[in-house]
Amino acid sequence: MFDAITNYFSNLTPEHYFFFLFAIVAIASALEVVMQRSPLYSAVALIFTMAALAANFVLLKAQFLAAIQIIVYAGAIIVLFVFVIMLLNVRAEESRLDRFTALRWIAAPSAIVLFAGAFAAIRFSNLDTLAPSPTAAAAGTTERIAEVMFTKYLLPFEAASVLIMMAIVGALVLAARAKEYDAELSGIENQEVPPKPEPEAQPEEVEVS
Amino acid sequence: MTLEMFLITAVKIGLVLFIILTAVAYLTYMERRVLAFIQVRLGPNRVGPFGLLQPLADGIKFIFKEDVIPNDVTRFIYILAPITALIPALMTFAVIPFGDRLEIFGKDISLYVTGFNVSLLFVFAMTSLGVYGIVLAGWSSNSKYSLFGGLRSSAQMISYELALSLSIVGVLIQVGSLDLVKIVEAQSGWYGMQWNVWAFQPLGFLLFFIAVLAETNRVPFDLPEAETELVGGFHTEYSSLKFAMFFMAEYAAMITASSMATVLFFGGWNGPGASADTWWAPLLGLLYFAIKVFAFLFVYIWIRGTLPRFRYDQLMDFGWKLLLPLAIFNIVFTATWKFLFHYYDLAQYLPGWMSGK
Repeated sequence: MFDAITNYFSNLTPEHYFFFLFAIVAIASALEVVMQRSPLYSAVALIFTMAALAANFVLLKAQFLAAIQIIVYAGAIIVLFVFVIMLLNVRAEESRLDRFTALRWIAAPSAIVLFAGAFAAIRFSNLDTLAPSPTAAAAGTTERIAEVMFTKYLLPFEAASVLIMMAIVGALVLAARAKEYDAELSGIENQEVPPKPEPEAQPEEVEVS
Repeated sequence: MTLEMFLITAVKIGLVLFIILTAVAYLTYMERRVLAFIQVRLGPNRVGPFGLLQPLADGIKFIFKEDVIPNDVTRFIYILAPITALIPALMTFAVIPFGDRLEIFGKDISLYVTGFNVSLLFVFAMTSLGVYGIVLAGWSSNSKYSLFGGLRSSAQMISYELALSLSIVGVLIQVGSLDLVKIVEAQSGWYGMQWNVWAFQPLGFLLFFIAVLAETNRVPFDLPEAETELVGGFHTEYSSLKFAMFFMAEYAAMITASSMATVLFFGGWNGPGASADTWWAPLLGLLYFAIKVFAFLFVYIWIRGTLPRFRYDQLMDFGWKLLLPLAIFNIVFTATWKFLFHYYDLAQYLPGWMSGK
């Protein structure tokens, strides 16, 4: 037993140690995301998760993915989360969490099923016997990703861009509607909306010849 | 990794940190002096010859001031915020290529800490993390001025980050690499003068420069800390060394921005004689790099001394309705140009000076 353990540790390279370090950080901060009461702390923990995942991408020689992970998730999406949390009243949200007690009863079995599924996938697949493919070292480079994205996965890529386009249009529509709604609201508040003063009739321009 | 490599890297990291932190300190001195001359004053000239020891005095003052933590702040995030502002700002210097390779005692040493195939994206990743320091400081201070400073800054940085990253795509299409070292090397033609800014990204450079002014919260885009309406903005509640850390992060970001402008558009270490085959050529390259960065920093201060501040709606309109479409136009233009010249080789029908070869 001890031999197996010492044997295991003697075979580790520095990369393995870094992998474990970042994996532990990722899992710990992911747990923190779920368990924190305050939404802002959750968001901050999520940044740490993303950073640790990016570090592990670098260990897998996928530097492009790592950089994109930080730029897109940590640099843009979580900033928006934080932005929204700052604008909403966070204290009110905290107390409301206790109401979802039914969700807790669903959450525990779902978690068990998920972990069982993940365990089965690892246990019964031939993951450990797969030899690393010769192209694996280059799989994460910019050129390789671009090549795959614009040939094999062109249709899903274009579909995703159409989806994002629809989201933008949707946001624009909602923003325009919110303006109308505001106008209605202000109309209700002061019942007598003063009629817009008619623009003074412009004096006809006299052409000077 | 041998011990020797480890030592060389450690020495390089220490040197770069030392130089950058000194540069940050003297940038504050330079800003105060240049601004003073623009406003027909003298500026700080009492501590040491020409006031050159002023940054040192400022530093000592910052360290020995009382570190006040207000009662109602969210303590953990309040302390975390200045750290999150400073660390990414300093991390960008790990990949910025200050110079070419130099031979010292028979060893081939690169004049930058490290370089890898997506170092440009690394710089952008780090600068995009810089916004957290400001946002978290604004939220955790539990003060309305800080909160509004933080909100404004995050909205501004998200808006201008789009234009910023799109403005450099033209350079990427032209060079075909995300490696900063390769981008610099690609600009070495024409006796070291084939810089991207005139071959052929003048629009890209203009957009980059404006967006970078907004990203670093400089005048005329310094709304997050507009004194007249927000007191000090996001750092209103900070004092002593924590305030100093925000200050250092801001000035380090200025140096990063100037270095990136130099690397992407002004040829990095390239210049007349810097690619010669002599032992001092890399050092000359370092000198060129420093001069270019210094020139950009001067322009920053010059702009601060000249322009008034934007109004908030003007800022948003400018970013979304002018910079963004222009950046997209630049990408389409560069891509078309590259496609025609690179794949159909239209250059053979043109006189040599027009094809850029």
